[in-house]
Amino acid sequence: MTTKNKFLAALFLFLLATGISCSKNILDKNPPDSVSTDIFWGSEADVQSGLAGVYSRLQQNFLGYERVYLDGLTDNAFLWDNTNQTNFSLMTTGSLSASLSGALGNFYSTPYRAIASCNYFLDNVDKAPISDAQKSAYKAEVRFIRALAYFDLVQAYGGVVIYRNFPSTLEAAKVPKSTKEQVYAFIEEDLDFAIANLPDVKYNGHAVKGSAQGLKGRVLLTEQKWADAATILQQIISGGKFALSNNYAALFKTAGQATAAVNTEIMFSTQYLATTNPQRTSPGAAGMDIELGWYSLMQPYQDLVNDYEMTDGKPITESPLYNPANPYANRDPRLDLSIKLPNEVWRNPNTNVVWAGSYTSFTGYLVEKYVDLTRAPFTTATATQTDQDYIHLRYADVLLMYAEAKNELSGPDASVYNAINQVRARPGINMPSVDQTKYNTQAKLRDYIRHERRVEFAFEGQRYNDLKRWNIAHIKLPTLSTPAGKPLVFNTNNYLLPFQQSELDNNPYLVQNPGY
Amino acid sequence: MKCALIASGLALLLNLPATASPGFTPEKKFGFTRWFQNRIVTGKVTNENSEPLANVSIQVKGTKNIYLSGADGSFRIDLPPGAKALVFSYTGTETAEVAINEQSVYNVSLTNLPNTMTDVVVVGYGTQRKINLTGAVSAVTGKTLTERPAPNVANLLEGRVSGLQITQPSSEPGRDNPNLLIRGRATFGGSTAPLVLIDGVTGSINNLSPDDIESISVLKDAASAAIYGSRAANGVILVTTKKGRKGQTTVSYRVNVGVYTPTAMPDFITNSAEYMTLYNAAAARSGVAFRYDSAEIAKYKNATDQNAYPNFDYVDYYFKSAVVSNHNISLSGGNDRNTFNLSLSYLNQDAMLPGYSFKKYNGLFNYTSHINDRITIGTSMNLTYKDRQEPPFTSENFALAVYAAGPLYGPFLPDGSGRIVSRAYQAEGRNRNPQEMLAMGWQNTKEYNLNGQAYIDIKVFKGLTWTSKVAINYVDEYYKMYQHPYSAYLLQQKDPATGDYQTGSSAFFGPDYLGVTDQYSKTITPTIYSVVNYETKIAKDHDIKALAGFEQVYSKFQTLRARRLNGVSTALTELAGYTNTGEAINATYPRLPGLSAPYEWALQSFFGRVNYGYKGRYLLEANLRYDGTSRVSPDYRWGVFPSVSGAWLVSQEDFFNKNVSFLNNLKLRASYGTLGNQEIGNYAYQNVVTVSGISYPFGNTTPAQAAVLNSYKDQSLQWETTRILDFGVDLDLRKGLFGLTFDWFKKTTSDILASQPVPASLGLGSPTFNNGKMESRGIELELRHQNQIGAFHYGVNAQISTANNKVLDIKVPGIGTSINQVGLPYGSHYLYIWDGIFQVEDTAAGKVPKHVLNPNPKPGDLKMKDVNGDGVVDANDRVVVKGAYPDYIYSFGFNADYKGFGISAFFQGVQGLKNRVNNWGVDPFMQGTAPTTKWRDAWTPQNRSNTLPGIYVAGYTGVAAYGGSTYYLMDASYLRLKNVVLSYTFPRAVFSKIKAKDLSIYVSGENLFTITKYEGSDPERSSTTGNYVQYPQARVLNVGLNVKF
Repeated sequence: MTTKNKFLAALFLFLLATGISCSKNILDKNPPDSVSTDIFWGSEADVQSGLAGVYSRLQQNFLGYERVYLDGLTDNAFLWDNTNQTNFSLMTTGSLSASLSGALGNFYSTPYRAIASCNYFLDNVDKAPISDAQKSAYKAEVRFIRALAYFDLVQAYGGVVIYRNFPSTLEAAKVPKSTKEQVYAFIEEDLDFAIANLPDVKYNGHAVKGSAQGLKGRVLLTEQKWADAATILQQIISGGKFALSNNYAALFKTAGQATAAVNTEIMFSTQYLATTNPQRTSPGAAGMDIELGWYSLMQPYQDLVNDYEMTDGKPITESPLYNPANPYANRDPRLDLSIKLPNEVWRNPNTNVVWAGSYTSFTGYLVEKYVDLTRAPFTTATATQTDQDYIHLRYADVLLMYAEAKNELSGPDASVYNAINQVRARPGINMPSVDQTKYNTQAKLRDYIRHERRVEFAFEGQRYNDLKRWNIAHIKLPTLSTPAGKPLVFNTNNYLLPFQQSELDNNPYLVQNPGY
Repeated sequence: MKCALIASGLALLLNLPATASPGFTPEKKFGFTRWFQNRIVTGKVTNENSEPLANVSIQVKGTKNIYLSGADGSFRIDLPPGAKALVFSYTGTETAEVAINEQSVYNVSLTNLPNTMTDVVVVGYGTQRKINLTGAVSAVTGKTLTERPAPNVANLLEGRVSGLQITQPSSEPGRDNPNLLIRGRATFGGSTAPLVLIDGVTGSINNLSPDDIESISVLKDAASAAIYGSRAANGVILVTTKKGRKGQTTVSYRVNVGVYTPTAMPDFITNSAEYMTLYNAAAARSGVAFRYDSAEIAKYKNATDQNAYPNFDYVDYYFKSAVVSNHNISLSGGNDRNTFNLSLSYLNQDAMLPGYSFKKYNGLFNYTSHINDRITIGTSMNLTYKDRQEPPFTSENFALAVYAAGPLYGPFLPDGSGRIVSRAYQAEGRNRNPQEMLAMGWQNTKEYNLNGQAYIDIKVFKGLTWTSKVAINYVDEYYKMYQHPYSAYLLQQKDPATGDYQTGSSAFFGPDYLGVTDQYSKTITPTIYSVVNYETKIAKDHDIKALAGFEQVYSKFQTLRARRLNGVSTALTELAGYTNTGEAINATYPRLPGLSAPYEWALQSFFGRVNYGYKGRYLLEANLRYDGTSRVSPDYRWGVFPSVSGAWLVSQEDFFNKNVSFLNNLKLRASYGTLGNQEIGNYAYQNVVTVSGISYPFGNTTPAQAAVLNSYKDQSLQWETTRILDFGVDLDLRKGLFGLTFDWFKKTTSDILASQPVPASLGLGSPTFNNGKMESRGIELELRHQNQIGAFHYGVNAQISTANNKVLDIKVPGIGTSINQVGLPYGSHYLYIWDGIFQVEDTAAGKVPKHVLNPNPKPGDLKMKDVNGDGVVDANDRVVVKGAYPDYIYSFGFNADYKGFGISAFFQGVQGLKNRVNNWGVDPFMQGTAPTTKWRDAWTPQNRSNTLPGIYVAGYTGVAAYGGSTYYLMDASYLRLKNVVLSYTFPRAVFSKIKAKDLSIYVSGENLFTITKYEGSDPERSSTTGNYVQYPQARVLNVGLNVKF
């Protein structure tokens, strides 16, 4: 080959070689518009994003504002079907089965989505360049949320599949379920870690020690571990980080939740913020203002209304103050603050403009708690402003849970009455103290505490699990009918929900709950 | 490591000893021997028909001296001392050797070779003589393509290649890119589009000018395509552009002007009073509230002022003939050392609807230089610029507005003010008046496309050639949607206050996507490959060819879209002229082009091929490609794609050679191999955390950025694998009297990407796995005949192909109006069987089965068949109906020429395809669409039609409930005269007067007639379901001129 030929060939070879990338990563391409897991977890900022990702799962279905709809499965309210949670009414009228689609699936999938996020975080956070103490604090928050999710699952299904880690393969996700006891043990383990590592401060949006203690109190109460429950709840009371709000109504509205004297009661909540994180953006903007205050999805039963006492502390059947012709006068103030009564006119408290756009209620009542009339009249535009937090746990609950645990443990005593009286004596509610002569036995006080819980926590999504843990759902619910006259059905097998058929198909190791 | 190996390998090749080029000196090369001339010979070269042949290569045997014959075939040669013979060689003729004697004039006639013996076909990374092919390859020459004038090259392939199904979606300017499908559908996961390579490099066939194409090869089976490995599963189309030829510089000019008219349009009722009367009957039947007032009907009926009360024919008004003109000028030529081809094309295409303008500019420059006997370098630059101006609504969206505008009003108010009419009455059902669509704005797409290549061929030593190529494909696209406010008025409603025609927000729809939306996007795809080819003959009988190569392709796409809605003046169309209130980045809207995410991908490959031939009778070929793709996780990234094929040239056996002289070629072929489909998405395997639009507002303050994992990804995800088995026969009788090519194939694709259900407890979305399987089987048959009787030449050809697919495995079967299920063709029609019309006595209780979707049928509603006979028509009565795919596609044609007159005709057809189509044009009064005239014969209690239901307003349950029935299935089989050309080539005596070398003119027609049962529209369309309305296909009349200087 001549020199010239060699030169030409070499020149071209040089061009060729500069074109061919000899680094082995020419084939390693990551999507430019999302972050590959290979490069995530490289900084504390990544960890904080991952943590926010875990919390963002709380905004879905019954871990978020829609948890109030669980009252639609109880004697508190009738829930109209809606496209976001379909077939809800079928769950209350005897059609609960493995083939039911819609809302039933969300009871299962929503907590597991949170759990997957938690496990993904816990498995990877150790890669980040942060101190062990920081890691423990972050892990404590995530394990608190994992406990919250598993607690939902165990209450709904009993024993479920436990994932301690993110499944490395699809087959690793197909495993048998653990027993109910194992799930509770796992929840307690997570909560103990959380209690030990979370900061003991006032709640600020992140889980704090009190959040974990309060949740553990509720878990222990559900397990009927009365002594342990009473102990941990007493620790919260004496810890002094939380107190009752001075305004019952404001507790459920955006402005109130931003006020120190009001939000001191909140121990854990799913948080929202207009306009980036309103309650619902998909399929269209919505939220509690729209769904409760306009579309009238949840309609309280007369049975609940009847449970509100008269201002003298007596039930309507006994109080001389009760006038059937004017049934809403002289009632426990929480009635009017929680429910829109038939003769009530809603006004925007700031502008005084009347809001009369709600759909007609079949029961005559609408939910008022959590409806923020400062945004009325409601439109699809105000929907994007709907950002009141859903409160999972508040101090009044700690007091009433303490009362319940202590009463079950050792019967009525001053600390029990005192806890209940504190809740009833909240400023603006000012209900008389418990009639200690009337409710003087463990059994009588038990019923009274249950009544107090129903009234205090109406439409907060607590009643469904309360009825189940008291084992009275199958007795109470069949006494009611839907507005269309269909009797409510709750059989003894309904204390546990059925796994959906698709889940049984896709995880062959899963065994259906009895009676389905 | 791999790279190091290649580099050192290449270096070794370069350092081969100089002894590989023995006795090579510049003196001889440059023909200095002419100084020692002692003798001159002259002569003339002609072909069999005594026509002079120009540019015939004449070599003085034993020397490097090569001469070319002139335009009239004459030559003049200075013979060196001792010259013994002249060797005449010319493409398409046998090489002739003429001994030199005392004569000084030599007139030589060269014998034509049968085509099949000389045809060279482009195959992967090289060429192959057609006779030696072992795989299923179809080739089309550029000459065949330009027989039919059409704006888009891809559409020119229709009917030209057996097994290649081409469906032109419409003839809309710039939107006529067809769907290409080789040997039927064989996947339901990845793409079904074949790989298209232009001069060996990824490019878009739609961007080329038909005049610039030398040839197109379609690689159909595994053996021919496996050299392209993981990109070859859907077949490969290789396009070769025209290079220059040595000889005198030739200037060619071609012009073509065509007139486009719609092939078929629905025949709507255009009498307003009749329309209103029919509407009222339909509305009464359908329970629609709005009716036309009888006084208003009377006004139309008795109208004397046709402007105030028109009977307006919108189809006639808007669908006009369009003129398309195409110019190409090329300059090509070269000498012994350098050849070039410079070609410029211009296309100006109007649409059959107003508001469009499409212009395409092409430039091609190919240059080759033989630096010396060993080294050839070359470059190819192909530049395309397309400018497409359109209304904001295009394709069927515009066409349906024309359909939907009833006869009651024209586009403009009769007062001559030029104001636009939206409709006649406020409450009548309407889409936008087409004129509103033109008034609201426009959209524009400008696409710049550059395909640049440089290559070098080095003959390292005898038989060994090393070819390397660097290429860049760059696509730059700029898109703009511009809409501004406009007004439209109601023709028959006046504003009581002003007495003027009523308008206002309820009277018309207004712009649908206000403001300016700009989008910039670019794709850059560099390709590099280097191939070593070795060819040798061992012991006379053993032909061996071997090829080894490396290739790397990388592609990157970036885009940005922005929108601003508030402008200070409608005259401003630039973003900068708008305010930032409500501006948006990367906004999406259904009618904007889909917003693609940025991406990158890369492919590295090693490949090789070995051909072995024994005595030219037994041929074997083996291919292997080893591909690594960025689209698959590192652990599974590299895949092997092998193929083998063999052929037996029966006609080369001694027996045949001696006894069956009329048999030029009889070849039996077989091939089998594995191909991949890496069109599976760019990041399908990658676990990514989603960060966009996710946050959590800790403490109800500023939202914190959140990151979540949303779906499970299978790390072992890989390309889909296709295995093709092919058996074929080629037969050619003497001089092309009869030719036949037959192939049978079975294509099986496994590891099809499909979603698989996972337990909800996984907490993540359903992932994609390699788990589906389907196959496609079929045959292809081509028949050829050509002959010559005196000066009359003619040829006939025909082809037919089938491809039947079947799903073999699918994890999530789909059931709707189509069904995806094991054992059935993918996406088979799954429909209720239409069984006539309910008559009055049918609806009496118990007479007909209960129709679940229409529980209270009225007489005149659609009646369905109770297939399973259980007394109820429900979902169980749906059955699989043939027609989702054609039974076969076919074409046939002939050409003839006699003393300069030529005729060619070409028919093309599809048999057995059925489209389920509805809405505008099918369902009366769909958004106001007038019924077609056949609805005059619709069912009434008196007119007991069993074919047309009682007239209704679209959406009426009695018909709409059974949208998924065979009532809506239309037979889209057709046979059409795709093209006919009459041409005349002027005699040499005429054009030589204007110093031209060639001059011909032609007239041609496209889609001149169609035999089909498809009513009122064209059966050829890309969609097999959905709306009946479409931008029409065109009947085209062309005139054209070719001239060469």
